[in-house]
Amino acid sequence: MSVDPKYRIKNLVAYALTLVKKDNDSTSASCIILYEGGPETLGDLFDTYDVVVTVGDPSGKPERHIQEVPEHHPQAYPVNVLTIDKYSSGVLVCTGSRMQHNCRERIEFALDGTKETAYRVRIVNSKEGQKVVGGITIWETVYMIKHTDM
Amino acid sequence: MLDPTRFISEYGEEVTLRSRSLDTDNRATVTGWPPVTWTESEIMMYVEQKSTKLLDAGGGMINEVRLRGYVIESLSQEDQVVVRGATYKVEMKPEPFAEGGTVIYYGLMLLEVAA
Repeated sequence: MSVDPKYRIKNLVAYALTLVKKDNDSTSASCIILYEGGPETLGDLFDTYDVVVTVGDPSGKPERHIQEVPEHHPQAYPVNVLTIDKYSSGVLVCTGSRMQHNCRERIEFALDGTKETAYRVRIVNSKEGQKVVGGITIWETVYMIKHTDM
Repeated sequence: MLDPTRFISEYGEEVTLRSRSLDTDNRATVTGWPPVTWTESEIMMYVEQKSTKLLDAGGGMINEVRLRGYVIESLSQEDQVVVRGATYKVEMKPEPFAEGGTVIYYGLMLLEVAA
């Protein structure tokens, strides 16, 4: 049985997150990556973590038809990277927007550097934004990560 | 005015509270979700029927039943209560009702956990 692509992408992004630093570029940020739909609220997660990443359910369509038979069935998985401004003793230690940049660098490096013969992963689309929800200002980037079995 | 504590004791009913705990130190390997455990106890709650809706979940119909509950104890969001055999979850953070700066009782929005 092949490896679950969602779990594979989660592990690749999790590795990238281990290299993310806080604003001072030396202290490692505490990051967590989860499947969407877990039992915790974002407020609970941001009490403990600087960066919260969730992996959602995929969408896709068959590609490269030869005589109407598809060669590949790629699926694009949404990966949401969420950050907020975090303070320690009144000092801003993680700036939400800057943490987005730090995460993007690491995730792009980790995914673009994946060279496997059994599968390909790449970022096909990303959308950044900021929203105020429940009294929290959240910076969010949604990466659509395409996984194709070779 | 009737004391809220006495009102809930006299006009409320005994329900089973299932308090939720998340073991965030032992997250699941695949999903990253913490395991959920439940601790049961009995409390008094004054219950009001709030709403019942029949919704199309796309593939079937589902009943959505909401209650309003009033309790003395502080519950947490996502705790569950069993009211007359049906299980409801505390949908939102409980609302505290205070007098003179002291919380006397809490209001809860309960959503039936469909079987």
